[in-house]
Amino acid sequence: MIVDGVRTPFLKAGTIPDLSASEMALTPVGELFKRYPKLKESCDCVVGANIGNQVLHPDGSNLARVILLKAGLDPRIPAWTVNINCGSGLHAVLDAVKNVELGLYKCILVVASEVMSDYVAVYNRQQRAQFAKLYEVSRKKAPMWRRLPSLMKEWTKMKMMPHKPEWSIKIGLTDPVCKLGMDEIADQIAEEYKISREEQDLFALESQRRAKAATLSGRLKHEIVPFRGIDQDNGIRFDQNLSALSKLRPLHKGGTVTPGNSSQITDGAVALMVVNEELAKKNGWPLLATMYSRFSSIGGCVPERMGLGPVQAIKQIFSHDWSTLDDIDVIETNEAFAAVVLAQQKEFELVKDNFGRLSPEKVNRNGGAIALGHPISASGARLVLTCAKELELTGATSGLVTLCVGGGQGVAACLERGE
Amino acid sequence: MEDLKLTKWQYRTSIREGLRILSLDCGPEAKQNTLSKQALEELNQVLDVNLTDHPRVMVIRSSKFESFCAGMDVDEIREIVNDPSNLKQLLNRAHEILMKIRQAPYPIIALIAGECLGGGLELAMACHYRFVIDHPKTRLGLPETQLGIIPGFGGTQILPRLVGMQNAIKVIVGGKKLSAKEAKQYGLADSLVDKWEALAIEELDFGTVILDFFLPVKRKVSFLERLPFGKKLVCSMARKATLKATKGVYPAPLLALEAVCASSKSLSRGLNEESDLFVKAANTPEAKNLIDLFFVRKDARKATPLEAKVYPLDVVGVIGAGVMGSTIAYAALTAHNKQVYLHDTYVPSIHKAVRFIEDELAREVKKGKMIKGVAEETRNRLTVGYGETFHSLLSRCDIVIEAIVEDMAEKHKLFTKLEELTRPGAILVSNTSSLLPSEIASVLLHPENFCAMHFFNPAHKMDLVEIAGIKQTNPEIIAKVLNLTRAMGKTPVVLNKECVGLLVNRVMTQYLMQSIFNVSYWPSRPNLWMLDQAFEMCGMMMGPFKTLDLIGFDTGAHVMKMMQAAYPKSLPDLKDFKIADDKSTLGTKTGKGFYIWKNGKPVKPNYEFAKRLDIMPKKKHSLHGEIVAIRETILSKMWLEAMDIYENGIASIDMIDLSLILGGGMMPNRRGVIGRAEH
Repeated sequence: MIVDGVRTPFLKAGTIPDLSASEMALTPVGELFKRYPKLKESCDCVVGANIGNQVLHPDGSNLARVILLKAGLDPRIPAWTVNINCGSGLHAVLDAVKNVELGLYKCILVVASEVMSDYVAVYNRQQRAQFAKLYEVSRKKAPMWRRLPSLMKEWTKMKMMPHKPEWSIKIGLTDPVCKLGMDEIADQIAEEYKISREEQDLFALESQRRAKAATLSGRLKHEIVPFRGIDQDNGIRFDQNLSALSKLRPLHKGGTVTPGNSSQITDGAVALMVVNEELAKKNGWPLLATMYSRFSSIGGCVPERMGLGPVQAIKQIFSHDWSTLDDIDVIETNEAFAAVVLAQQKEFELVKDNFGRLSPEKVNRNGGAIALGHPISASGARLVLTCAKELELTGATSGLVTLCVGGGQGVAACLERGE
Repeated sequence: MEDLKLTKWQYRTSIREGLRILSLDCGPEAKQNTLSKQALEELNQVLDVNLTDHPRVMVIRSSKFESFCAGMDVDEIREIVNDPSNLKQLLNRAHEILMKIRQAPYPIIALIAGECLGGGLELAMACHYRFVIDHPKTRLGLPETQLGIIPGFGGTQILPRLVGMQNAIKVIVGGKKLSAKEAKQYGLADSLVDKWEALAIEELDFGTVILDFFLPVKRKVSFLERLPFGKKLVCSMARKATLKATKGVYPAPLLALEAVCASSKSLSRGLNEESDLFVKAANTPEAKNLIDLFFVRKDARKATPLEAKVYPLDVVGVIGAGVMGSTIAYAALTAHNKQVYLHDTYVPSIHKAVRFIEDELAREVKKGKMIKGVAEETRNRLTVGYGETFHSLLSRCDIVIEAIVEDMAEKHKLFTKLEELTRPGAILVSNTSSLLPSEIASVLLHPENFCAMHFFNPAHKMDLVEIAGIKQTNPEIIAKVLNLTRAMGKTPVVLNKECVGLLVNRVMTQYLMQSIFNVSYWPSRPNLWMLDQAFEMCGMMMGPFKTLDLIGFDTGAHVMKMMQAAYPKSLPDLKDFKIADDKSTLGTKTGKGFYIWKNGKPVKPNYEFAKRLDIMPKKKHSLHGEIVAIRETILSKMWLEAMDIYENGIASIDMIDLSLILGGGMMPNRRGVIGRAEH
């Protein structure tokens, strides 16, 4: 039921300053409107995915609605934004799929956009209380000369307090319950599964090499629309080699996770069309891929083992189905950290439950988040898009998309080639 | 110009007025251009004709892009070495002709592309200007000393004048081959041109730009050489270094050095001295032996047991990514267009292998021997896999080279698995040295696709590959493996029969074990470090104890044990000699063995270890005669072993000597272990 999709190139955070999520999202949406002129009138719902950009203007608090209005769609149609951390993009697609399956809507535009360089810095609770006090004093209804001493006092206190802000990107990447950073969790997982630094670096190198090959061969051109003159992902390190990777210092002392073998901080936006089959036929739209909500799942685990969420989710999909991972041709998994993907592979290899293996040859054939970057909510939608295009290009039949989710969850969904 | 009848040259006029192009062309069947007597005579004719009707500019170039001139014809060198009676006359004639180039009233330019070695470089140096094409395949050098002779056409006189004495010594004595960039840096090349400029040079209007091109070139002379006694100092320093490096075994580098030193005299006296020294060098037995070996090696490279058309092996699998595995993979990668799959069970070894290959490629690029794009393309042909499961590429492999631990059970396990996973008809080879190939193949359902292919450590640098089929092996398989070896740029030696240890390891083990045996059972406990020296003085690349340090005692002891089990009669029993007991003393790996090693060099003898093994010499200096006697005993045992190989019909004497020299560095100056005894 996915008709088509397109994305902006994934840009390393800071490539373009003063970028907003809605602005970035409008480029792929506009491209879809251009490709399918009937889309504008047929679209009857917008599902957005975003996590950290809905604080500042112009993105507001419901990004999907902002995009809907800015794109010039009918204001009567609904729009909502979903948030399930890293899984948001995939969940938004699944949300749309479910709604189409139910028959509530016929043509849903899924927009996942995340501009990580636009994340805000916030004041903590004590600082905020101080600001509130000052505000309260200044609003008191009393003559100026009576208000002045307390006003001066609070103002001085406010000036004296430490002004160091909290970075919301750091808050977002730290688990609120187990108080561990995502990198620390990856370190723990690597230790648990005995994944050495060497193995992670080899994986990272392979990811970079595959992304490089895909870019140079023009394979990724099929899914990218140029954004502000940039037409390819700029996080890929074209001359990456193993020596350089092994020289990097680990993020935590004694750990194995380095900036080289974890995903990058990136800006990116993806737009997908999820359409009722009959409507697509009527409009003469092609069918890129099909998804069924019954072949999708969200699984949970303890937050300390965040990276293994996909294992649970995949097991849930295949537990009420006869097929296994070995029947899947293309697997796209999110490379939040090399350690995490390797742990997932090991888990399936070690536990003989007849779920098959996550074969390295099928996983992320065109590179993954280590090379391209991981704009949190956009990643899920990108994986769906990349997987669908890979199915189309290679003629393979089935694909699987999965992401680990901070907080201890995993999202997984199966895809089938359209026609 | 019309009445010239040239067979080795093409002489023509360019479209531009006054420019003539003389290109060396030894015919399409010759891979490389060589400077034969005839070519020199014809050059003389051209120069004579030009005296009356001279062009404004003459360009000397080659009709082949890959090879300007690879030097004198080695066949002719062999001829003159075998019959050195009219040698002096020949050299004088050559000097005369080259002098005509120098004294030509019009500028002569050498346009150098590809290999320009020996006589070729001497010809180029006789020209007034050298334009070098900036290409990774361009190499300039004077490698004559490797054949036991010295440059004879004035190379030792002109090069120091062009690049200074110190650099000249590096090239002539050290045998260094310069890339295009280095040549420019040294001042040997007057200008670097790229490929397209070189093609366009024929159309260049020398008439108008002539002044820009032919300004006098300023030569850089190093500070040391400008000092009053600087040149003498340089020479004496170089002499010491050369003596240390060659251990006095090879006379040619020393003679070449002497000739270079003579370059401070006038040109005619220098040339005279050079030809005297050339005659001296050509009369040494070393020259004869080294040239002989050159031909043996050439034959080994040419030999084809099967005439039928052999398809190349495109996908090469290497299992085991230790030092052997990774260097084999690298050697296979550098062969043209081979897809390589490298696998190891342990992640760290794969990691190390990939790093090694990437770093090695980067080094090649840095040195200017490879273009960056080619290095990248080479890297792209490498696929790695690790863990218990193999990559699906294994099923596409045409040949799988096994390079895992020398353990029969492990090998059996691996080969059973490989036969299941590879495609039918894929060749399986084992890089074994101390196990019997047919025993390894006993688990195979199709032993006809199996043979032993033994590389030497480090495989990307060592030239030799031993190939041995087993009884069932299909001859076509051997032919294919031979082709692969050649594509990897190695010299293959095919054994007629299999045996444990193949050729080199059998004699090598004999060498090492006999040395240990003799040192430990000789009542006076001869000085083992002196014995090492004695061997090196007679032409062994490395003494036995140094070799043991390099191999590592754990590996060495393991191999010796297995070889002893296979040849209990010929190899001595060293059961009570516990060499690999102490894990901190394992040779170069731990920095301590028979020597203390620092930065890959032996610094001083390790007395402690010798004491522990109870082979500490009783006297500080053993008698020279005693050491020589022991050396001769050991060499005779090695000769016996080599003759045993020959008498069993495993290989011919030439091949045995060649493999011992290429694989073990055994006395190339004396023409190998058997050759030495015969002559």
